[in-house]
Amino acid sequence: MAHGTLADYLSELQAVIETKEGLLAAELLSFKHPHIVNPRLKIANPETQVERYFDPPYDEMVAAHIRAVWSISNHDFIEAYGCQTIVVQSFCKALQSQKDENWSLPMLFALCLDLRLFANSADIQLTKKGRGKPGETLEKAADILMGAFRICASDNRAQSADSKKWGMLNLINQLFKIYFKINKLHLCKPLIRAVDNSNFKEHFSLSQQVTYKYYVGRKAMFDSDFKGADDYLSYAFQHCHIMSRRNKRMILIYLTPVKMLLGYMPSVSLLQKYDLLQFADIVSPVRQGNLLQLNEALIKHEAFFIKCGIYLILEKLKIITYRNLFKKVYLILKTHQLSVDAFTSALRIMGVDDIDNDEAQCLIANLIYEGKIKGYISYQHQKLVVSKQMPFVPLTSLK
Amino acid sequence: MHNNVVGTCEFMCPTTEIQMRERENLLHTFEVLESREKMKRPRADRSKAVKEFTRSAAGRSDPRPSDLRPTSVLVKTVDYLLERIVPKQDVKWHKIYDFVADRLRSVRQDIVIQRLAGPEICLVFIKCIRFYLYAAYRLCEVPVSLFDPHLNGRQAIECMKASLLHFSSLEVPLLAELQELESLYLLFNLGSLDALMHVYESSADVRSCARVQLALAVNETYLAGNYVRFFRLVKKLHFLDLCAVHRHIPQMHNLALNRMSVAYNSKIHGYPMEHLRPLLMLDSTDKVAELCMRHNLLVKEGQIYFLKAAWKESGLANPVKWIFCQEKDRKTAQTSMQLVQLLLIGGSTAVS
Repeated sequence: MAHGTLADYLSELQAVIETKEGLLAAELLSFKHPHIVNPRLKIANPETQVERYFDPPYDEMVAAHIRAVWSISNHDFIEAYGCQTIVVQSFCKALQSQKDENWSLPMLFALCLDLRLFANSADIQLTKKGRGKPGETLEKAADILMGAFRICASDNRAQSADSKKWGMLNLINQLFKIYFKINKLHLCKPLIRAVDNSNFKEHFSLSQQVTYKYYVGRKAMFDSDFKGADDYLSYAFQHCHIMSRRNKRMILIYLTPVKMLLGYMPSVSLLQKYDLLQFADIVSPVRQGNLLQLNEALIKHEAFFIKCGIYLILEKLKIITYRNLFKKVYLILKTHQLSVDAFTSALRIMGVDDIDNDEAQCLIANLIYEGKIKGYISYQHQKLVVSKQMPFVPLTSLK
Repeated sequence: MHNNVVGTCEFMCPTTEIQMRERENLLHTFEVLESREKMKRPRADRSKAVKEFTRSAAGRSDPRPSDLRPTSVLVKTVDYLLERIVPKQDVKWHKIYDFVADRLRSVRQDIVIQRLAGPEICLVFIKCIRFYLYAAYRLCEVPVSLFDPHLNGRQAIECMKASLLHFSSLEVPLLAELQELESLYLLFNLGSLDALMHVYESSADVRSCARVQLALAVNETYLAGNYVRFFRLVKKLHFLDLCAVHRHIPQMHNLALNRMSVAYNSKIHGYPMEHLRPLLMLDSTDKVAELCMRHNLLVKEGQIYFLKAAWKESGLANPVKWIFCQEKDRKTAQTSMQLVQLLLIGGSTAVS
């Protein structure tokens, strides 16, 4: 297809649409397909020819696709994005008119994918030119994808096999990618609700489910729902295809801090296997209650953690570190009436130079408040009085 | 293709507007010729009239170049407002605020319409931000009918967000001002993940300066609930940074008492008010008692009885001019000259 004439291309596309071969049609409209580099398809105004082969709304769709090919050959992603919006919107008209059938879903997926990718590149080009706010195009693309999503989600009539609802998860995953990119995670909520309410939930393809749970898990992290995040991300990690090493690593980047906050430290061998030894520098100081070393490790790998967006979650490990340090103090003193001085000294030994009894009490107060220590502070006696039974609540049992 | 309109108005206020406002008797008292003040239809003092903010109405034609002020005039306008109007002693300050805030909004509008950019514009922005934040502190005890901290806050945030974009597109960075901006942005939006992520994604020479590091530390203590260190650090802040973080202080008071009501829970033993007072930087033990009673905590004979079961959530108290704030205010913005320097260049000493 990288060599035929425009007529060849158009007639082939027309044929597969007529015979409802969604996958083949999708390929012929996808920018991953070789026809994209065919110089004979780089036409700025293909309308007349296209109209010979296609009726509305496909005529608009295909003409816009060819114009997009033209724009891409000029490296103009802004123009390509504009054309692709017409492609998607015209296609959606066709999709909506297809009652009780869903053969064209693969086309929808391919078109939406390209829309998102062009929007991404368009934003970069616009920012370089000093026009528009960052992420503006992606946001517009999300609106269009939402339109497509609604068509799928509202298909109540068809029988299970022919329902357009099967398109939901693919589109949701695309939307998730945009929302995470533009940092508007709250927009994920209604989509998650839509999936939870659907009875197709468990029947989407495994790879779709893995992607879905990866994003939902990350959102849960963001909302500080660490138990939920653990469930979703663990599922994603376990069911992610063994050959997708890169994807497995990505999941692990988020799963690791979640597990650590829940009290489960990763093994060095696991971290080594997935090239994530940055976490190894964190595990040791957290276990030992060594705040200074933890801070050093966070600074050392700052760039990596910030880039992945987990720096702030890792900061939460500080409270776990305090807890571990204080537990050591308790184990050493072997009494349930612990003088605050002991904690202050322990913190000083661990390198926190400017700490005093008031601040030590404040740290303890926070741990009591969060249910990590069972006890109370007596100001009178400057002591932490802990419960005689398991005063340091095991981290793995906390919510 | 956008063809940017280029303003040609040489004065702080376009002639057409002056004429209209003179005709309709819409001049502000700050803008009239002094000798004529008592007349029925006062005349404008060209050196004092400043373009008003008006919403760009739909359907109205594009503004004329003669109505728009170029960068140099906008700079002069802002400097005039901050040097001449802000330090006025003969008018209630909330009235000064109303005038200056409105005129600054018009300045920002001229910037947007003409798509102006560059270092002078960045400096205009930061002066506006300093004004909004100072105002938030100065007018914190004024009734909401005279000064609305939410509206002021929105202007401040809008201005900060625009500034961050402008600063990031400078060819030659204004490092000191950017450090100041990041610090103010973080503190004004204390606890906000967005603001924090923004600071982390900024360049190392912004992030690693003492001012931003202190702001980050304050933010960290806020998120961690470390009320002891929070107040200790807040005491060290530059006065403008204090103005920025000021509105979040009641939240920290709330949090401290909440944590303590759980951790010091006891029916018999109390916690001395006079010990808590300096930790939370409250003005007197009376004020400590007031705060405790807001949350239904018993106070008796100088002791607070922290009881988990008694604790009652309560709406946040309004921030006030606590003594520790007034002290900093006195040191930095006491005289008119100091105040003007604070707003024009961020203080009498270089931003650290």
